[in-house]
Amino acid sequence: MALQILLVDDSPMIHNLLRKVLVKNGHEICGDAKNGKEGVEMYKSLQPDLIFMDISMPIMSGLEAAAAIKKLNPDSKIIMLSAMGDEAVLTEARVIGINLFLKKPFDEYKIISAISSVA
Amino acid sequence: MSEMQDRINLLGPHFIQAIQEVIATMSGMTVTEINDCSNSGVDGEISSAMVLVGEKNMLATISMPQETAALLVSYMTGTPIGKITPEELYDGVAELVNMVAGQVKTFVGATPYRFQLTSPFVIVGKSYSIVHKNQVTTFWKCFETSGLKLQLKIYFL
Repeated sequence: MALQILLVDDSPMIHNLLRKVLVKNGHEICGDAKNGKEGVEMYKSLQPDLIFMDISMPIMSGLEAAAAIKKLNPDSKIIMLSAMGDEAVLTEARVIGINLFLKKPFDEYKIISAISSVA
Repeated sequence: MSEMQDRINLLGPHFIQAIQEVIATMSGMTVTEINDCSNSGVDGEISSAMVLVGEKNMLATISMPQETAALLVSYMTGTPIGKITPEELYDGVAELVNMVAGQVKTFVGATPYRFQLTSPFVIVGKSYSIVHKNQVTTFWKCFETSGLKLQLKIYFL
């Protein structure tokens, strides 16, 4: 099933990489946000099926943005991206209700598997 | 054996494994270690750096010529080399050191050598050197991918 996906990451490279993989697999990128604050605003207006959210971002972190989005809609689907697998961060992500934690680096298989497990 | 040598012996192979795994996963490219770094032909046109804060602090740098950076970013994103903007290029190299350091952080998480990471930053320019005081110990490895060079240098601060 084709999903409307919102990307929230301050890295243009990660945006390009995810866009390439997701579009190739039939999904649509409905929004590109560069920080958590933009991500929350875009979530409100776009109501995407799924969000890919980085953790370390300027202005508002991914964890703060995810918590705000889960408050708006507890059923929202969020895949968290990070290069760091800190146990403290993972615990906080679980408390917020993040659907899946995807550790960088990732390839196409890991991205598509992650979507299958949460969508 | 000194405590510093123990540290290098443990961390060095993890960094080598991480740089090879990250590039292979993200770009599908194979990275081969070159034994003789002194004649590697690496020009430091772009360096991404990250401070690793732990019991002993480290500065991890990955340096490469512009040509290597463009090829890696192109393979990672699917963007043709000629269409990669400078912002995308520098961001790609910054993400690279971020992911390598993140991998090593995971590898050493249960050891006394665990550390926290700062944000990555990038140094760009022609003919620059990263110079350190004499007493700083370094771990230096060079790599080759598709005939292009890159180098990893860890400064034990």
